Amino acid sequence: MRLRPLLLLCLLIGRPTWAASELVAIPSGAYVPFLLQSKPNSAQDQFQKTPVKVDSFSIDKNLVTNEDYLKFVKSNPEWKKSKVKRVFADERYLQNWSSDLKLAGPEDRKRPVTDVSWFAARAYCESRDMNLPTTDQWEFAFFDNGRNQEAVKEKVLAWYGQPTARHLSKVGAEGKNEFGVYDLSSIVWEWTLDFNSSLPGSGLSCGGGSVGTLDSSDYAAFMRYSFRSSLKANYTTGNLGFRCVKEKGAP
Amino acid sequence: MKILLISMLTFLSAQASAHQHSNVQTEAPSTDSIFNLKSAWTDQNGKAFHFDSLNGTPSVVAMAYTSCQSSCPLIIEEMRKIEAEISEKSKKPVRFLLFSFDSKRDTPQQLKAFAEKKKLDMNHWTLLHGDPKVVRDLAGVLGISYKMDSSGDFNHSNVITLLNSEGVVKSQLNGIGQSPDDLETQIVQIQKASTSAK
Repeated sequence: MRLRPLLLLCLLIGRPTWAASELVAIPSGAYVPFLLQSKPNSAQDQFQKTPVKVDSFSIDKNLVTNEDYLKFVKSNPEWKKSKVKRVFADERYLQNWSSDLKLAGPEDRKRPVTDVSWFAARAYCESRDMNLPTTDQWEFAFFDNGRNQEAVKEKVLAWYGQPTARHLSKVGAEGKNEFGVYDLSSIVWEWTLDFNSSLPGSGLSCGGGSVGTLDSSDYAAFMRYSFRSSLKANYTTGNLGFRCVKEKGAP
Repeated sequence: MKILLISMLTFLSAQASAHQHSNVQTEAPSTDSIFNLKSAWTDQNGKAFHFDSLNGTPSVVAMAYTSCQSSCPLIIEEMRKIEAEISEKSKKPVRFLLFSFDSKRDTPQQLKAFAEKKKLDMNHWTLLHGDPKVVRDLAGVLGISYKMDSSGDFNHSNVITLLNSEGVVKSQLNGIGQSPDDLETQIVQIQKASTSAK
């Protein structure tokens, strides 16, 4: 008991700034997405690699942590696990939290929040006047202007090859890329705003420039696109987290 | 498969009329109901639309856009066939709703002109315009994939969803097709559930 004030003092002094509120600026640029684009007005089987332009934006340096998300739930009670509507988040939602407003343990505070749905992740970002990154924004941040791509691919493939750790690493533990964004594709998978935008099998799609054919030479990217297209907006799972972005010019 | 959907609709609209007597409007929507979506849409007459206005009536719902030349007309044709067959079998109301992906071009006026051109029976149909955010929400709830291309057209999956009178997804027909067995099983389950509820 006597230790308690001291402990509290340590916590106050040692308390880092709210991790997820630190943003990294990503300059505009272009990258070639994994999904090939069909050539406009061409036969369905003619596909090409088309660079996509990405406008500048800012992105959370770190994944959103349990601690960050807890603050959000406190001020947005409709996202408590006892209150959330199933249409927005399935039964697994925040399953590792011991109760509505309690994490399983203090060590979870700096771990990325997982078991959150797309609706939940979006609501969190919107509460900060931000949004989930589009798949293009996320992939562009990950692409890192083409720097160290071989090393990154190797690292990512090694991560995919591992079963999900029982306890996730703390955010920031897996290092940053040259943009300064931490832990991309090394602790958890991440929600994107348009996770449901790839339509494999162009026969199902409508419109001129259909997407659909996969470039099988990049297995890590194939895994990401497959993973995203397997999701539904109310799904939650233990290895899927998120971070938020702010568009250029947004307040 | 379509016959099964029709028989499900007949069954659901019978349920709906039963509910109209019991006045369920005041209850909070069930946790897996689309009525939990608070999104604001605008119908072809420029009037505000909210999902809970569907309370008490089964609905057949799809997402499309009116300048689409390829698969969207097929979705609408498919819904019209369902409409024709269900009208023969039952006088109970069923609503047909088409939500547009195209926030920019599918204004209420455009939707109205489209409905007139297609001679849709506006006693049954509602065409809806919403901003990109509410389009995302609805596509999320219905499990529909879509992407806008550089010319402003949309690639999207073709899904027709059946909602029961409480706004819960009961069945979906998609481009790939669903095994009839699935639908049959679902109907049996709904029937059992409603019998035990009485």
